[in-house]
Amino acid sequence: MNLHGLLPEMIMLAAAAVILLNGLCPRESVRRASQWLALAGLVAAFVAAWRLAAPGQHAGWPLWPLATFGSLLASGVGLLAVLASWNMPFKDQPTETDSAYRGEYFALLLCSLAGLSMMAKVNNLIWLFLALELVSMPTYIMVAAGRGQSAAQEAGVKYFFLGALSAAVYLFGFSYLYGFAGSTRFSTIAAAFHSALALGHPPAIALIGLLMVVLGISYKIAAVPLHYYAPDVYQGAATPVTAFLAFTPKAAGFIALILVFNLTGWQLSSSLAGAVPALLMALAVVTMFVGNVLALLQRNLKRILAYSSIAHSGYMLAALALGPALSPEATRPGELGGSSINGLSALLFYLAAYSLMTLGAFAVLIYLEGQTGAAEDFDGIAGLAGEHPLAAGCMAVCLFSLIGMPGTVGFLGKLFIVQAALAAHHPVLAVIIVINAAIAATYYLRIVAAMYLRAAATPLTVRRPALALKLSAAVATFLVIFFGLFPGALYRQSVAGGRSVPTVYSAAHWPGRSAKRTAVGMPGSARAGLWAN
Amino acid sequence: MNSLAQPILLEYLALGAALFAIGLVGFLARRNLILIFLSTELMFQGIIINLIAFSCYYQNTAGQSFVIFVLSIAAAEAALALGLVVLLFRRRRTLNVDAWSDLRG
Repeated sequence: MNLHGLLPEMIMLAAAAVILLNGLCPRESVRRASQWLALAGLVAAFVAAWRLAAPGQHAGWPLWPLATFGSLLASGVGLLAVLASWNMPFKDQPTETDSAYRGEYFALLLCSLAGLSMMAKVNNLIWLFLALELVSMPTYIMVAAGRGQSAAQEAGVKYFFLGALSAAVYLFGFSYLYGFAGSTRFSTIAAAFHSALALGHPPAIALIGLLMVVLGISYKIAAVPLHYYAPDVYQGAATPVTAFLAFTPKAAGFIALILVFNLTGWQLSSSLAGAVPALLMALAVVTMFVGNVLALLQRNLKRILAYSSIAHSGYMLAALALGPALSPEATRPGELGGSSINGLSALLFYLAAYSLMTLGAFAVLIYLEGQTGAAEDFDGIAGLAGEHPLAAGCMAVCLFSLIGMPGTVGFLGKLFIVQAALAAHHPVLAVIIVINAAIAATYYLRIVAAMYLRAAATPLTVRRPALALKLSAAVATFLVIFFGLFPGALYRQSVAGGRSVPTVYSAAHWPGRSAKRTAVGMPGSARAGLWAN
Repeated sequence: MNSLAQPILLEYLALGAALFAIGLVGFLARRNLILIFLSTELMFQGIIINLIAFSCYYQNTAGQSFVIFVLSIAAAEAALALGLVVLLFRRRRTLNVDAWSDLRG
């Protein structure tokens, strides 16, 4: 891959730099251009990513469809996130004066999106680490500084410290993976896993490293066991930041997990190594149940959406555990529109679907955020349908999509995961997903019922309803229905991305294995002496 | 690679793991925000020792260049942590994490 392949990220980072400078301007009218600059940068990045996604680009880079999927997702959903953040920095009191960090917020947002966009383009543990941190670091600041309330600062400190802990955990895993293979290059690590698996089972150091990486990254996707921060952080952060958090770190974490499991060649079925995919499946099931059951107990809407985001991570983890293998009866690779879809394609489709529907739901909450958090709980949105029928309609559509009602993109997402589970001969998993969807329907429908069936307790006041906010909610809702009815474009991208991941190891999939590597590599005998016994 | 390399590598790895474990325990047991942050730094130092040990063992520079990146990210995290700590201290006049537990549900 040459520099041309990094064009979307370069555009985003350049826009972030311009916004930072622009945010220093003393005149407020100039600072208000930050949003427009962010929007322009993301549109340019989306166009660049779209051009890079054309067939035939970077043919020597086997994971390129996955990489362009990440870029398209980052810039496309990022556009909606910028529209939803139009009123940032969030003001808890209408009397607060405009603060100076207006520019910084959008610069941080763009940096984080650039990290997500870069995620699938890395071929080295060092770059994977840098991309993950580029995604996370700006979000820590966005949570803590996005809102003046002490709740936001509490959320920020929790998010930051646990984030640093999770970074240390997966980095420890990276150091062991490096120790296992003797190189940080993905190609060498994959080759080392391949030869170790051919001999029997990989050494303990590789498995410990792998487990710690999964554990550390499960923080980013808010999966069990590192999920418990999510409700507090989602509740405390300003709602536009929450919307951003529900999407960016999660997408980045899942792409990183795909890359990490790709190192193992998806062949961890032998005795001891088989524990890793089994553990992944178990984590997926536990995550689903924890998210959905705890969401039933919540009154605060942002907490409900936080637990729902945990549950959706569970569905996506299940898709990840199914891996890239296609069932034998599936259509041949390269032929789209077949009846079967592999787990990773289902995961990518679900990731995009989840981003759209959760962003739509949060955009409505942002729109409604009246005086002193009026839209925080069920009472806050009671009778919404009477006063703001369009907002209630958008919210209802997004919630129906989160449930998985036919006609919405959420239905197709769940359908593909269930289909992949059945094709991989995991009927129990499919049943568990359906049961969880039914549990989840309870709390989503409770929100819909509050909006449509109850009378308003207090008249809902909408402060400064920016056009951009309405637009983000409307566009997200439109896309939820549009991709639900005409999934073609999204389906093609996610199937291409999912199928680009090889199902078995082959050296041809790792173009980076050059003479340079063997020059810095170690003598094979020394490695055998340490790890092979 | 001579036969002495292996025990030395294992000792360094044990040191790295011990530092990581001490940091983890400190992270969970300490109540002061600055000490919690120092515990995460300790965990990072354990990782750095791992990387350097492997780098010496394999006679390549990948681990050492990784360390440079880890150090710079850790420095950025330190700046962020101190900023957060100052922000929190101004508001509550304490650095005890138990003072920050309003968000529950």
